[in-house]
Amino acid sequence: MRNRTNHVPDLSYIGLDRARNIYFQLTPAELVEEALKRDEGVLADNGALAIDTGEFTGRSPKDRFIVEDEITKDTVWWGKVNIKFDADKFDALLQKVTDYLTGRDIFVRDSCACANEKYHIDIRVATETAYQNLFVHHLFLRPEVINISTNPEWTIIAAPGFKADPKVDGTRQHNFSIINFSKKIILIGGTGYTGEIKKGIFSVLNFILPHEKKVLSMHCSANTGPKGDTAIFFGLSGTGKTTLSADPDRNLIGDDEHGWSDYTIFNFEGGCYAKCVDLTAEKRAADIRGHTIWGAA
Amino acid sequence: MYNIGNAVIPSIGSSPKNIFFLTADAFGILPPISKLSPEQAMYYFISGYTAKVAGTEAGVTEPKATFSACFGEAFLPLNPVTYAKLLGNKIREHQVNVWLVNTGWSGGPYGTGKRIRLKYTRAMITAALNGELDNIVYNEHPVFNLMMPVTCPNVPDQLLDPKNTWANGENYDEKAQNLATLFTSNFEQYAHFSSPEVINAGPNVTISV
Repeated sequence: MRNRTNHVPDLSYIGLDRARNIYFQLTPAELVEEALKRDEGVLADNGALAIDTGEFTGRSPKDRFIVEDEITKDTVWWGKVNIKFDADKFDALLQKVTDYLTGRDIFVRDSCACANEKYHIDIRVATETAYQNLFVHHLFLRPEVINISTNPEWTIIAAPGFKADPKVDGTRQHNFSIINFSKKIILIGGTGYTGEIKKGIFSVLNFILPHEKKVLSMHCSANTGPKGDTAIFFGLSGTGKTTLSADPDRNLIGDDEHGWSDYTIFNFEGGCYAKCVDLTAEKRAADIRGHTIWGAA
Repeated sequence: MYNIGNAVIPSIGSSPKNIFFLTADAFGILPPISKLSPEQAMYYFISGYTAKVAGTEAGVTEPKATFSACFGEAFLPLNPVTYAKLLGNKIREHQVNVWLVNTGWSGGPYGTGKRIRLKYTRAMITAALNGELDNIVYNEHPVFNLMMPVTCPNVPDQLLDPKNTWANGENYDEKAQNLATLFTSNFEQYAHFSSPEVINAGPNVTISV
């Protein structure tokens, strides 16, 4: 494995410049190799990388917070869905997480969301594990040009091995997923479940797009017919959203998250997302992503 | 998406002509397909209803109503009504057809009734997409005020009005009333932010004495 430390963006803006090795923008094949080398998972029979995400095989809604600040205090609908987090506590926790990652290997990837150029946002994701980075490669959109000299609009830091101390850090328990709209950072710790990354960005878009750009963000699938007519499908899990939008006579725009601007429907992501927990008896708690095909580009 | 044969790349489409709200109603109450007014669309969007079949400690399974605003409450930083208003404006502006599709049970609740066959649900969606439900007769549901098509290509007429599929019509009316109550009590938290038109687009609830 080449050490790519010389070809990486300057991460001092988030305090991650002191990591041991910074693996930037690895190919899927390289990430699979790294994941296997680090015993993060195994190769399934079909060549997909299968990861046991450990303690969490789902998101943890009670541990998802939004920092209360000038942007959010009068706009966010606070309650059991949107739980407040103190801005100072966030800064302290961010410091602890970056300290934790100092001297460790991290995987960094630049990606983006929103297929409509006008609403495009650049996202940089720094993860402790290779598989999380592979997930990001598969799920989000892939920028045509990587520019390491500029900082992205949003940064996600995910450190599954870091455990918070609720008494000191202001979290509910050891895991957390915190969105900071002023700093444009999503800070995730104590959980290896990649859905926290996906839905973190979705939550961000659900704020920015309707609030600032009058675009309706939606949790739906979308397809288009032979005459170019679009249909969208909303539904909670088990209602047939994926089944019914996968129609051989129509083309799929996306399976999960879309925006509706004045004249277009656009996918936020580039990937598909299917939960595979308990699909096989021997892999209890395995969270295999159907799209993590080895070497798929 | 990069690996799917019939995917649209870049993933962009025109404004939708049809919107489907899918619900797996395990109570067997909601019609398999109904057409919503813009106000009803806002009401059912905010409600984000489905019913899950939940096991109990005694090993008995029974349906349980689930409401998740905008079909994704956990990811919404703003008040759900904000999204619903945007949706309502867009539906009116682009004259979008909005359909409520019950992919769940028919002929009774889970246990008594049967899951609506996928081929019928597909036929109803295809008919809606092809405009085959545009110029036909609709009946209004007495409790939910939903417009139910009287006929639909490749679907038995009898299936389209859920009450017809139940062995005991009175039993259906009573259970429909129960479900209506669940909808209205869930909506209370949004009523303060919603217009009277949207609130009234919900089901009728008769208070039994």
